[in-house]
Amino acid sequence: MKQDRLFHAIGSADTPLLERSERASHVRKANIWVKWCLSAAACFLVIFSFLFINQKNEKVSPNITTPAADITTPASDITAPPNNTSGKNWSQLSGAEVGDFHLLQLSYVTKTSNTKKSDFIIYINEALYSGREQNGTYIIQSNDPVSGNLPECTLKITQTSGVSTAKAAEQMMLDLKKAYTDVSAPTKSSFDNGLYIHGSNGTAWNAKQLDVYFIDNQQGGVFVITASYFTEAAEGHGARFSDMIGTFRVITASDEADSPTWFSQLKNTAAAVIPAIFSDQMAGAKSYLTNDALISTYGEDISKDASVQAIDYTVDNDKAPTSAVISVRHRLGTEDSYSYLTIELFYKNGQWLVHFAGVEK
Amino acid sequence: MEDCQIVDLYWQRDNRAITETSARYGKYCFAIAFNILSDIQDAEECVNDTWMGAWNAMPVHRPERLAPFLGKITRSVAFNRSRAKYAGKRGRGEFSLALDELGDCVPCSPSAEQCVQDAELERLVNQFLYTLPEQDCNIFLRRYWYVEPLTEIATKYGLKLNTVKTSLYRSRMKLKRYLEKEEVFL
Repeated sequence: MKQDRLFHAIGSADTPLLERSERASHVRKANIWVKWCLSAAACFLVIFSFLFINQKNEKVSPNITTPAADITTPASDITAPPNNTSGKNWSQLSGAEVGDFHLLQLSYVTKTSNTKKSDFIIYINEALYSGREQNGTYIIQSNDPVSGNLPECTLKITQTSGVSTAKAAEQMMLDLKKAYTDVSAPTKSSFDNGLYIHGSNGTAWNAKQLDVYFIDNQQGGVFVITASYFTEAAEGHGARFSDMIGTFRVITASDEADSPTWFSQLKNTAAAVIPAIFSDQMAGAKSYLTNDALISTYGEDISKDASVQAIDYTVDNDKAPTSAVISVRHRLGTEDSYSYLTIELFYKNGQWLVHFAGVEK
Repeated sequence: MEDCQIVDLYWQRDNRAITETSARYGKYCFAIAFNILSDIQDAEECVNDTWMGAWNAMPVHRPERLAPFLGKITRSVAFNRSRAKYAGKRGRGEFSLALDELGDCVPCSPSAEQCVQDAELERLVNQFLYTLPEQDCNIFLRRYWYVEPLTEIATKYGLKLNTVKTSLYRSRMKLKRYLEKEEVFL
């Protein structure tokens, strides 16, 4: 059999390689790879660093109109959809530490330290959605808005200073009860110190649904993320919004100062390569590839189907990295299971170059 | 007893060579044999055959490191035993799975004339291993040299199971591409 011949051939592997595989198993446990995971980043690496202009102590008030009541749904046992948010701050990372580190806070811009507001990162699939700032609210909506007289499908982000997540959630719950027939009590979300509320106007196909997340801005205030959609769109926009929310990260000024150059470069490379792979347009990303790069992915443009739920960055050394692996957790349909796009890179002369990319379930 | 001292015993045709080897490398060789054979009795017999093989090989050989030297004998003996036991059948356990996986990276032969010689294949595969990143190479060898279960490899290197699977997948694809590039068809 052909496999037998290959198996025999592998048996002739050089002794140093075999010994290395033995050694590595012991060393690994002690100290080798430091993993940095920017868990739950979502699509196409469109990164927004957005300084809100809301005034201190501003009341939390997303745009909610009072709709007609529909059939009611019990909301008492509603829990927040899972978002990948556990982790450590950049400043807690150290090359001497071992294990998985979740790099949550990164920044691309600088901002004054005397403000009580924070920036954030969220990843959006630009093939499907676009974002804009309007009166202190960041609004993400579909590039193809639903037609007809249907409830809006948007994701809105606001920030309020001087209020805790608990107080903001309590106030929001009271406000929502005026507009929604069913409003859940605040429950813990997967964000650190985060809370979640679900509002619903019933189960009719066009009944308004609302997911509201309250996230500590780490400066005494709160980010409020509101996903609005209707029942029929729950598995479409609703699921995609949930993926996007999973990518949300708060950024503080200290994070910006601590972020190393190589990591910004790595993210920039990912920002160029991932869309190229998903759109099957590698020609535009050639400068990011090694000469013999192996790109084995979908072989077709799936950019309009892809919903990215997480991007993990792993490097071999946090002080002087030479190689990295980017793992992109994504799905092509909102009811599909997740697949993983794995991208391997080398770091040479201050540049990250992709030498492998492949997709696996 | 150090490796060089054990090798000296072999060269002196001293029976203690087998005892010392068994004490030091018995578990190591048994693990390799068991990964391939999935049968305790077969694996034990395979290990005994390994000692016999080592006795016959030294002299002429004087290995600097006994572990890989003995491991290669064990692997070869276990492979032959498995093939004899499951002649014409699929076999079982990790060995069967590992072979199936290797089927991914076997380039199809356009014609019988282009079949590469085993010695050349060994050289190319060895050369290929040096092109892999260290971690991928380690994982590849643990799977296809030592025939270790995926979960065991993940534990050994402190990795997630999916990471190990992905690493093996891309290494197999790389090997396939490498062999095709070298115009190797089996």
